[in-house]
Amino acid sequence: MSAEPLLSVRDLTVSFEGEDGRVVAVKGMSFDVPPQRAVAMVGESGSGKSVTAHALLGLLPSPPARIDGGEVRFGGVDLLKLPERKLRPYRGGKIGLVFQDPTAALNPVYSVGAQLSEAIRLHLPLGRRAVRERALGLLHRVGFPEPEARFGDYPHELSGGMCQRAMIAIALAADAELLVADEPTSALDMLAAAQIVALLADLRRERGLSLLFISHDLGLVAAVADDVVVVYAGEVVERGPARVLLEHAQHPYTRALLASVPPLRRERRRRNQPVRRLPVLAGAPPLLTRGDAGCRFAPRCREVVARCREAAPPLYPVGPLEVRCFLREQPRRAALPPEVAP
Amino acid sequence: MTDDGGTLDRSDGHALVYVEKLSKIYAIKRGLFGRPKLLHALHGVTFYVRRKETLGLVGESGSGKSTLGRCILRLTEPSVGRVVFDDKDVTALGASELRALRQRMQIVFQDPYGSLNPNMTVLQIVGEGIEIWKLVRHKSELADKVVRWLERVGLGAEALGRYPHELSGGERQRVAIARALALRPDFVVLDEPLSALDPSVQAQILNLLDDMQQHLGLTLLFISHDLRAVLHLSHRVGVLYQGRLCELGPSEAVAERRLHPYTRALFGAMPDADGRRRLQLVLEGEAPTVFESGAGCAFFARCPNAEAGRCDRHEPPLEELESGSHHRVACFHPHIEASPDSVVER
Repeated sequence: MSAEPLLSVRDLTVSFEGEDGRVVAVKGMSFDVPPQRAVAMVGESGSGKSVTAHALLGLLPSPPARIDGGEVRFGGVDLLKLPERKLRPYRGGKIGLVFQDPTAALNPVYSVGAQLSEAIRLHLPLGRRAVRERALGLLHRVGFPEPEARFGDYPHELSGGMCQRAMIAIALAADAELLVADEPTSALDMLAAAQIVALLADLRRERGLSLLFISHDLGLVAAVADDVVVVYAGEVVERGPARVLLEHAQHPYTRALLASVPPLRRERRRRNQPVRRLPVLAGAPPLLTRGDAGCRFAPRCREVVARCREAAPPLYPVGPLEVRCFLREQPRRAALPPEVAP
Repeated sequence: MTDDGGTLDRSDGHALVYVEKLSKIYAIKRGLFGRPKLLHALHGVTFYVRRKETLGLVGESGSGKSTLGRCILRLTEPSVGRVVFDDKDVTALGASELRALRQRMQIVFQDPYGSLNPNMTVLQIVGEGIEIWKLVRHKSELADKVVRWLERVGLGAEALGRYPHELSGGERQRVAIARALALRPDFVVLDEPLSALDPSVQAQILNLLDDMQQHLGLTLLFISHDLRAVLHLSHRVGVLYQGRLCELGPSEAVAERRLHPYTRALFGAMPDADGRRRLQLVLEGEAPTVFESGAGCAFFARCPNAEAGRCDRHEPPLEELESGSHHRVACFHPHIEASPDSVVER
């Protein structure tokens, strides 16, 4: 890991005003995105991963949302302390954003070229011709084979995959250093999703971008991420290098998520997993009301012990991983293979 | 059925659903005075679904998989071809006969938010069909019957009075499944039933569908773009590309052999469950929209194995590579030698 992270989130806590009082959606969230690295944030709906992404750039409507504490440092500047006006060069400028549903994120009444040009003009002092040239170059780079011909296309004339490519071009309008991609592939089919992930990986390499990739798809995460942060009910429950975490997950929640992906027969053989039935994570994430004692995952955990219901576990180091689970307080020798064990 | 046009084999004797040379053609208007173009959403699709079998259909968006499901139930009228359900030609039925068959053929949609009436309680949603089809003798038995179905799909009696917006995505999909199964259908089309759900909920619904299929002896047509889920649930799978079946066979055989270059591309885009293997993107770009259906193979333009002069002039038939294997492929140059195990693992 490099010394100075590009993005550093510390103790971020976000709550929402609900009918039955305040709901804490993100609780003491901390993670880093080092320069030129890809960090994936993984979790189910309602885990707080999208709220975190939106909170980074002041995109949460307030009320009902409220940032109760924490820091979001980007290149040393705490974005949460900046007034709206000073936040603008970051939002869509130094930090590019790609959202889940490109057809909703794009404006239907402007052409793709016009929206991209607008984003470029907003952040860069360029003349008309230079703006157009830059826009065409970006469209070409993200996979429009004939950018001149598609410049005037409206979002409804493009497939979901092409709309997402256009969104990525817009996110790169002003030489972003960090790309925040919030479920960029969930609205796409498998082939289009794989193409978008490959495009993000290429762009990262060639532009030295950092990437915060938010997804519930562990397979795609494996294809793109250097580091993984697993979130459950607004908290980080496990994090570490992607290869170690995906192959030797320690937290019962991460293991349950991995096990819910239907394996091919070949993968079952490799894992000595003969049963066809999928192991199921029963129940639903808890309601995030304030002041719950104990581990938030305890009600659904297969390995739960009495202590889990009484106190909230901190993150324990297990080799290169950090795991929020009492069972990993004294890591068993067998938990990690020798090459990654402490 | 004996008249199978020579395209189906003897094992079809136990089939519940035949789909024969089914095509769906849409006329797309171009401008005010332009001649409409013809879009072939489905092109001569032929297959059968055996009794008590789960057949999976996989393909990209726009491959025609949802259109196919809808045409089989005649929610969309097919342009050409036949659908035979339990020896009755569904495509020839009049409105009242078709209505009588509806109870036996049900569908579960992708989006349980959109397919459940927001103004009805779970009791009304699941109970409606039971009442219409008079599956209870007295109205007093209705709630009991609904509760029994809710319990079968993993919900409790406390769900009875709830409205769809009070349920989670997974619970809604369970209600949609209970609504379909409560009519005791023989055949259920599942049109992308998992796409709106979280992975852990997807696993729950897959287990539920598996249980229901076995305990109720259902025949299922499972439509999805998720290759993993399709292979997991289905006895056989069909791969659709631009409205044509390009590969059809037992799930294990298709997963292990991947005969069609397009099937191979789909597997390449499927991430490994534990990140050992990198994605193999053999396909760039997207499937072109094919209007006037050309002579050659629909996959010609994107195919790494394409042979000019043959693949662009003749349409490969869907045929068994080895007779008796029930594994069919529509390709002049299928992958035969290279086993998928030779794929680089990192």
